[in-house]
Amino acid sequence: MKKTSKLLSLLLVLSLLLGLAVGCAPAAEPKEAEKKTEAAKDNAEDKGSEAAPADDKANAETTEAEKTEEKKDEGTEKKNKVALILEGAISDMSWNATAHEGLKKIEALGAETKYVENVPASSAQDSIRTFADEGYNVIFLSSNSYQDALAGVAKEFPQVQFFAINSTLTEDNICSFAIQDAEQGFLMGALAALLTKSNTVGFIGGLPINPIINGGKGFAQGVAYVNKDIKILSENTGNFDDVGAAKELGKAMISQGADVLAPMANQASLGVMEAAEEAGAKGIASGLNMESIAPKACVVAILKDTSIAYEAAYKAYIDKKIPNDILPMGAAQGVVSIGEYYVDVPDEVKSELQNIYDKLKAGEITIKLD
Amino acid sequence: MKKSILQKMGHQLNAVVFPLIAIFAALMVGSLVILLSSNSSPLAAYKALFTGAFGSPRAWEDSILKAIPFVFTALSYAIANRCGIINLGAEGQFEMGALAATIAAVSFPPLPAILHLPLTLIAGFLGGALFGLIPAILRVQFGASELITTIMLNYIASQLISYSVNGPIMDSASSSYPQSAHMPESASLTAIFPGSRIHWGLIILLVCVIFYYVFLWKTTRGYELRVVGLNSTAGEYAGMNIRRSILRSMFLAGGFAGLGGCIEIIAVQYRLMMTSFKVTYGFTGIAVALLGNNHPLGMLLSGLLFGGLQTGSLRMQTVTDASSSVVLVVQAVIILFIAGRLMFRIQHGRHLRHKTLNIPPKAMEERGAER
Repeated sequence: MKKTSKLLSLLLVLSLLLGLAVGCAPAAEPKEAEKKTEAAKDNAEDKGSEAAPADDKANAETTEAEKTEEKKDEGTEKKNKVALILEGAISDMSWNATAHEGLKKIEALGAETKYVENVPASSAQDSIRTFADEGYNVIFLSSNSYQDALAGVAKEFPQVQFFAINSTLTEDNICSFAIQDAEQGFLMGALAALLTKSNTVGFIGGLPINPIINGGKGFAQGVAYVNKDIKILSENTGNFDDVGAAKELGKAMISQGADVLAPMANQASLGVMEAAEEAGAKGIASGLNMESIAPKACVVAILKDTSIAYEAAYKAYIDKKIPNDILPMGAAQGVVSIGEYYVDVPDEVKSELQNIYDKLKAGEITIKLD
Repeated sequence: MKKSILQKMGHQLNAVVFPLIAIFAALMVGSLVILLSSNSSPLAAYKALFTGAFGSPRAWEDSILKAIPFVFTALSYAIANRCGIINLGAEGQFEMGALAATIAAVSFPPLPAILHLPLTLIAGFLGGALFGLIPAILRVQFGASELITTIMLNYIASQLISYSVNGPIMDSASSSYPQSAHMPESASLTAIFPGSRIHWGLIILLVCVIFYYVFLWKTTRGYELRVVGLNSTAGEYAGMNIRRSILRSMFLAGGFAGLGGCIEIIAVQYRLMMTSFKVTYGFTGIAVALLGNNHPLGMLLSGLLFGGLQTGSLRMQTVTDASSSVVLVVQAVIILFIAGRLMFRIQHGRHLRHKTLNIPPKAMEERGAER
């Protein structure tokens, strides 16, 4: 008896849930166009109750709305579908955030866009296949980590153009660009050397992939460019998302005497900035908005604005001028740049850094990456 | 007599109907999540989900590929569960199997495939099996709860993977990304039919499922194992060695999971990396085993369902704006409903209480001495 009543109540709950789902579903389903016409009709009715003559006008509006909608539909047929596959979250204020920024710029150029976040390298192929099957014709891969996955799957989809950031692949349908992480590192290192009083600076990288390793090399050379006697502490946390570990590493470096920290670890960078803030040290940001985490410590952001690279790549695609080489994207292209200063910095430091930046841009400084 | 047959039929029916209700209810809850978190209608999202999972031959292929590791870990949970042990360590055993297989695959000089492939598979099996033996030994020797030790060993396994791909087996040749070298062809499982991606791992899986069935229901050792799981006191009274059964079941459990990890690496991912196990194969396997009621056929079907959910979620996210995480909610709710039902059953059938094995090892030893 008990069992049946329980079963009955379960069924009741289920039917209620089903009703809810079905009841709500059609409301969400009507297409935008219908919604607009409905809204317009509602408008018309409202106006009708106030003043009858307005009715015709409202109807005219409705048809106009429908017309523009039709035009838009025609437009979508020719629209490029652009997908972006990200290793982290777009909220990381860094690498993935600027990538998402780039996708928005591409959307502004008239493409239909979609992105997926938090895709580990081991399932990148699934994401690529899904996008390609859904008719996406341009796919951006935001990380060096995806190189193997892309190499394995690109041949299956000759109709899709792949853009791989920081990859070394050059195939018919793969175009790679090399973000000049070393230049960013160099600028961070130079600034750290200009700012330090204890003559010890720290570099904290994320996952030790080539871009980060190059960033570290650039950092060391940037420091040495300013002052060869400065001690450099350099470590990698081993991932891009463990904010806590990065913070501990930052604290450890500060306790070893470092007074300027430069993180290059996407989201985990936030932990380093926190450590600097708490200890009264300085931090050099490598992404956007990090001053919101560390208002006192964050000196300036040496940006790697990859969105410029994304936009440039997409424009090259539209113009059908995709180069066969690996595209460098650094200071000369405006991808690596110095942001606004968030705290007071002596003018001579600013001008010295600007000087170094100009030299990097002009190619007068070369960074060794062996 | 007639009544008992009817009752039996009722039991069978229950075993099928309740999982279906659980799935249906979970999808309903998932639809609520879709409604609250996105602008898409649940119907449209689920349509995308199911066409993404089973809508085309390609989708079927993907779903089956995804299902294979889940069924392996489900077997791992199930065979331990049949012996009254709750193995939450399939995750770690899966990873250790993958690690051992990777080491065997990349560290030997070029061998002919006929030697290298079996060697790799055996390494994978043993890697998982030996890792599975650790909690079993702790259990029979010291009475340490396997619930805790298996969970803790999962962390050890994942840290070992992290260490290995950053150090000893890191591939420095291709890039600096912490990952192992690419599996050599002599140690890789190839596709069964050219042009499809379904690999020989499926056949190995089916063999394992058949082995699971034959071992448990057609052999003496399997019978002992099940008796120990159902009522260890009775088993001991009948002269069965409880400790040996536990060790045996955990060895096999670890082995199944390890083989799954091995196959995932040598047939699908081809490289071991830190992110190889972002999909929690072990824990999803527990859900698959629960939904499949530890039954060989049930686990195959529920594994296919979970594989399909995994595959379809990508398409759902691509086509609609519903997040692929909805699928995780659906999976979790399925487990909740199944577990909830088990709780009802335990409450109702008090005679089933002794199902859990809770004899302290000392008592077992004393009894052993008496004998």
